[in-house]
Amino acid sequence: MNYVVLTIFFLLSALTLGSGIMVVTVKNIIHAALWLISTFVGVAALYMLMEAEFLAIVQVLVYAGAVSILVLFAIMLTRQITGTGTRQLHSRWWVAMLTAAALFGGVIVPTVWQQGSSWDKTASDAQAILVQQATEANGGTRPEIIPVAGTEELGAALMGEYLLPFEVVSLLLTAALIGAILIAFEERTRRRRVLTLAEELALRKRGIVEPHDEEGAVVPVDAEQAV
Amino acid sequence: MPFNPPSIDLTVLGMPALLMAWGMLVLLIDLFTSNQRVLATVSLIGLIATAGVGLLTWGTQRTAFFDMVVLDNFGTVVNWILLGATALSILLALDYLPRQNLMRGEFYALLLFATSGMLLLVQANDLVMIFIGVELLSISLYVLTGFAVPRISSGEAAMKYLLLGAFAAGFLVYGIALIYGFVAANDAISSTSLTAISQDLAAKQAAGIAINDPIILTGLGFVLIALGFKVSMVPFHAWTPDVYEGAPTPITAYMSVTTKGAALVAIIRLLTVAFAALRPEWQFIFAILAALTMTYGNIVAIAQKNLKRMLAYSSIAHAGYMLMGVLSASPLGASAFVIYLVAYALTNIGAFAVLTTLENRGMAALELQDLRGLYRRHPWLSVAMVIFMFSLAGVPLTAGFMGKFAVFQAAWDADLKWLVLVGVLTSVISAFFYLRVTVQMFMEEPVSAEAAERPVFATAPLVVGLTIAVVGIIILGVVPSQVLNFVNNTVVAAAR
Amino acid sequence: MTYWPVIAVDAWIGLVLVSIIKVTLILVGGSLGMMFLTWYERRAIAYMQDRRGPNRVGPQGLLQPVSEAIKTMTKEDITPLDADRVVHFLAPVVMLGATVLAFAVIPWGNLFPSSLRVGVLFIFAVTGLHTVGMLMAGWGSNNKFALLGGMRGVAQMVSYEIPLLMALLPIILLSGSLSLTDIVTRQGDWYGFGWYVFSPVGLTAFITFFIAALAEGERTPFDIPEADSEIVAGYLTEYGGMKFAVFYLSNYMTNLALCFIMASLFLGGGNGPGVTALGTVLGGLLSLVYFFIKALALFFLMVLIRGTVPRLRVDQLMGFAWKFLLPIVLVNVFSTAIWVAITRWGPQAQIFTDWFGEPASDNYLRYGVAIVVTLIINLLAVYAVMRINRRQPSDLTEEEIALGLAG
Repeated sequence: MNYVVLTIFFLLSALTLGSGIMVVTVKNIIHAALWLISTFVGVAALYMLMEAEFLAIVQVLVYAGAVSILVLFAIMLTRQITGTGTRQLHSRWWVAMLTAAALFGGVIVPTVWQQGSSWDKTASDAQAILVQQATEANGGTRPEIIPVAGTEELGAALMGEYLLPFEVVSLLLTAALIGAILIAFEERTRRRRVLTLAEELALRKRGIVEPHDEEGAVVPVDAEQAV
Repeated sequence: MPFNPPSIDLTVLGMPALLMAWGMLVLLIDLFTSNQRVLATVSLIGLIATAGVGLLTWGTQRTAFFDMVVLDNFGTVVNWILLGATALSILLALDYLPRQNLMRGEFYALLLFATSGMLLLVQANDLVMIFIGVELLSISLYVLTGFAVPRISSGEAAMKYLLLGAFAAGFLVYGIALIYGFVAANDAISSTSLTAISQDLAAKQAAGIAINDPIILTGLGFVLIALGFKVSMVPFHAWTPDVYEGAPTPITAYMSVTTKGAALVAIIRLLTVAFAALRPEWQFIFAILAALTMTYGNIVAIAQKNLKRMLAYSSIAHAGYMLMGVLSASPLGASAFVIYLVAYALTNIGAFAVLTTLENRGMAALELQDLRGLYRRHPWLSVAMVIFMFSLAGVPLTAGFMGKFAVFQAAWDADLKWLVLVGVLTSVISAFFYLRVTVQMFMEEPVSAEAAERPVFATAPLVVGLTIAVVGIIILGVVPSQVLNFVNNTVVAAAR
Repeated sequence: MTYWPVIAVDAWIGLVLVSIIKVTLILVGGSLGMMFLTWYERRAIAYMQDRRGPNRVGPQGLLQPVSEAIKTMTKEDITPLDADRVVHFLAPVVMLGATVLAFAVIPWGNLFPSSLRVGVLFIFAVTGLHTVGMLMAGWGSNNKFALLGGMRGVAQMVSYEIPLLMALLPIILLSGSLSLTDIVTRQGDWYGFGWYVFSPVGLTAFITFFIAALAEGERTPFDIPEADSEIVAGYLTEYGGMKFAVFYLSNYMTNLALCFIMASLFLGGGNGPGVTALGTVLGGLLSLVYFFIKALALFFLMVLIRGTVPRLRVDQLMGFAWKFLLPIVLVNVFSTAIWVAITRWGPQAQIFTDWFGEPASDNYLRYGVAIVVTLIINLLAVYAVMRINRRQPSDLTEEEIALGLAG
């Protein structure tokens, strides 16, 4: 069983890391985005292996299902559809790599330094250790609430200790939503609605003909207002 | 699993909570009316009501929501200044928006959201709340900066602000994570509250553990980078001129004052409450940055032809002066900061108000030479502008002088005498370009006959705003003792 | 290395065997279900249109899907010359993979393949991956119609996922759990009729969920990604043979999954009169029967809608999701909170106990009050949303008034 879990772990890690490397090296930008999705799914599977179900599912829901789709959508709306031939590396790529390595090292070195003895534990072992620690801290008796990251605990934390940030974040998102609509709507008001064929026909029947210029293009009625 | 709902202490949260609700109300009213005078009036009433809440809770000092927000007199005073600045900005915007064809009801709601984020930032006593406050004000401001979005400069400004702001937010989160990791790793305290951090550091110090650990220093540095970005402290100031130039002028006036004020309060709380034990580490670096900020802002402002850019660089310099008060890390420094903030708010919004009256639709940029002969076109306006310029330069008998004096005094007491010297020297430099504006208005002829005929939009709300600013500056400059005593008493009492 | 949970080898092999059996059953059951559904849909829609439908291959045409499966398998596998071969090939795999993953937690009656604590979320997380497959198919085909179809599909999926998940929230509030097992067992009160659909909030949630599910499954009023009259066959344009069949399989399995989910979440799953009384084995069989009746009735509703409602325009589609469904669903979450408060709160709200008595499953006064209050809130919400969505005359241009759109 140890080796089974370990094998799964290493396979998933290889998938995640390999996809991550592909994201930054592959030339076609759409392929890079697709590899990114694979990375996200790999991370979600790792969470699942660690028995953090909720986190895994949120990872899939938010990153693989929503963020990456938005990335793909944005690429397709802005770039040439083929998207080939994008050079991923520019002349100072090593600066970026060093920065990334330094940031990663800044997190991983102290973590391993302080928690190195317990890196290969499963969630249930971690739970046992947490219980033990909490019991010791509580003076020998097992406390009622032991911190773990299940769905219920997350919910209780959001509605308890983090109630205020939770509520304010909802206002923040409202502000962001309004802002996005505001900026996007500006364009919309200037564009004239295109009539469908049936509507155009109905208009002709009533004797309303759209104004055309010499070349036959439709002149927007509210052109003056739009300028 | 048993769940105990937390106690909700709305006294502590009163001001930001009311303003948030009021922002929502404005948003709803916008659904039913397109008359922006109604919206502006409702927003102004909301600001006054929020200030009134501050009056009701005056003197209370406690924390709430698991130590996440704090209410004290210092915070309330700064909140009042921010609310006042917002109200002045609304007066500026009232006629500016229809003139520039930017009338959209969401403007006022977003303004109130941004202000409520600032109030939250002022009252924040927790790294998480600092982050959320910063984000709330930033996101609203990104949109407000891009409010004139068909105009390319506005879109460019919003884009620049958004991209750089996103980087700053990244730094903030990373810094918070590092601090959290250092503080939480060894102890049962898992809160990110500033009090918890200071307790933890004190406990570590008592146990003989070195607290100038690279992790926490990096974390603190990252958080300060992000807040310094909002303040436009010098290595992180690059966005300021472009954003201030591109944003609608009332918004420039608004954010040049309020963002700096709120972020500086967060820095004060962070440094004096949580990281007082690390004072030798941060004070010297901060002093160097403040000196750089003052020098750079004032010297580069000399070379500016565009008025908004000039004021942007001058606002960078003023951030440096305010930082002097902050890094003194004493009650005297905090009260000096408050006085400087009042003076700066009145003066800077006043100066931008003058620009608002001159800016016409379709005008690309307001150049220095556009001010030539303003004295003939509108004498009162040019007199007001002279007062604002004198106050920005720190000429005696204006509010700006009192602010600079208080800040220099605080820094002198904190044994940063060289910094005071730098401050005085850069003030002298700054006098050059502020006085140049005066010279242009009174002694030069207009560039063309057309320029001499340009309209001046000194409408009623703007005149009210300008009058408030001018009167405030003169009162603070001529009879400052009342204000000084009040601020000293409240802030010093809050700190002890 | 002693930290890993140590399980004896035989137990481990047993686990693997059980899993393999379960997976096989699900895959076979899912595919068979899909085949049955295609036949069922064609027959049903034929009767609606006064035709016979497929009735030659096998009894009543039941073997028609089999013959068609053989046909697609023997067809030539074509990849367009300029297509991105890998992406083009992987798109149907991703689609089918997402669907099959969802079946890992979907209950069959009162039988649960795997009881995940966050099962409901899991289903919608993995079905969200459909969009990836759709975009891959649209982009990988290197065809304008395919790309248009893919983009339309993603826009539709992303927009309708929000009301879909929000419509789910009331059920989670009512049951207090994200696990499908819990949700189904908690609907077993009142002689097996404690279905969530019998409360005003549950009914609103069910209707909105059903509409959003139609869009998620690309069923007819929302089959915009593959609208044949507009963009050939959407993202399926460049697919033929077995790859097309895999898309088809995934699409129908998704619809089957959606019907199963709706039956479990809103219609009590396998619960019904007599299930608990008959014991484990017989009751289990009965629950399976109830479950299939419910699921197939839901699918019949889908077919009925396909046979009667015309396709929406793209802007109407978006407007419907954001301006109509979303506000109603949000209000419904609010009124569910009120429902829970009125029916369950004892010591938390003493005033309710004073007025209506202690909360209990036979305190009909509390339930009556809750029904009236939530019904009023929901009806008001629907009325208000319809009222606001009706455009004001001043917004209409002269062409629209000429077209008679002012009414």
